[in-house]
Amino acid sequence: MPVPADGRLLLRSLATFVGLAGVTVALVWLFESMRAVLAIGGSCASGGPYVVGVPCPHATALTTVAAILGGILMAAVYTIFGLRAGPRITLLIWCALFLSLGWNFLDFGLRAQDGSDRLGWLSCAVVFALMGGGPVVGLAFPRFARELLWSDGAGMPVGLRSGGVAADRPPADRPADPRPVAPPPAPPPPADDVGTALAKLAELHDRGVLSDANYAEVKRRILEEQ
Amino acid sequence: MTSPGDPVARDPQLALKLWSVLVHLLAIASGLALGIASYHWIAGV
Repeated sequence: MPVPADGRLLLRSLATFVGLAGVTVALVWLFESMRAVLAIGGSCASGGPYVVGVPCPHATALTTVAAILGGILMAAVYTIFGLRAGPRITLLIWCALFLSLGWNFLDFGLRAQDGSDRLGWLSCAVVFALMGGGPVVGLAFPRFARELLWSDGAGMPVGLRSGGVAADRPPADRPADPRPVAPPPAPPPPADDVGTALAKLAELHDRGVLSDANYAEVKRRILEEQ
Repeated sequence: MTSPGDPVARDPQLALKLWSVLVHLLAIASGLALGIASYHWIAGV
């Protein structure tokens, strides 16, 4: 099977690998940091001028901030500079984020001793599951999956390109546009009649505005242009 | 030389797409391993 002769294949492969691996690292850090915070009651603080009631677990502040900023950066690297054909799973990053964090809410919500904690965390679990699970449910529909998560080589998946799916269809397949079609622009006004132009030129010549040489030159140009 | 039934003949970019799938799988596996190891190393747990 031939390897595509793309001069930028190596760079794009590297961007896909680094971007996606970086996003995965960020998701793992967020997942683990969140579990560490939920394990001490769901809230904590570090630094600042106030007395800290519940200090954050070791390095959680660092890993959380780094995961958020780094994850966004790596997702951009993957989406913008990655391979142009095959899987384009930017949308699944969203799903992985909300489903993994939603799992934490569910896990700790079911085990919470305090009733208000349980209700709050389970509510968050439902919201996160809905936010992250919607696109996953859509994967059951091959057309949806193909149009949003797969590219045939033009970069973004069909469904995420500017203009959406309709822009990718051949013209015969598109529905008729109900908007009124603007009339074509009117043709440019016809050039002055040669006779009229020559008459005006002769008039200028007769009035002495044009010299004989200029009159002959302009007259020759008018006749050449026709 | 490709025959009409050859998948490469039907999709000239098949090799690139398969390569992309492989890179994705490697990236996710590497990210998971690196993420778990690095978090536990940083957090000291």
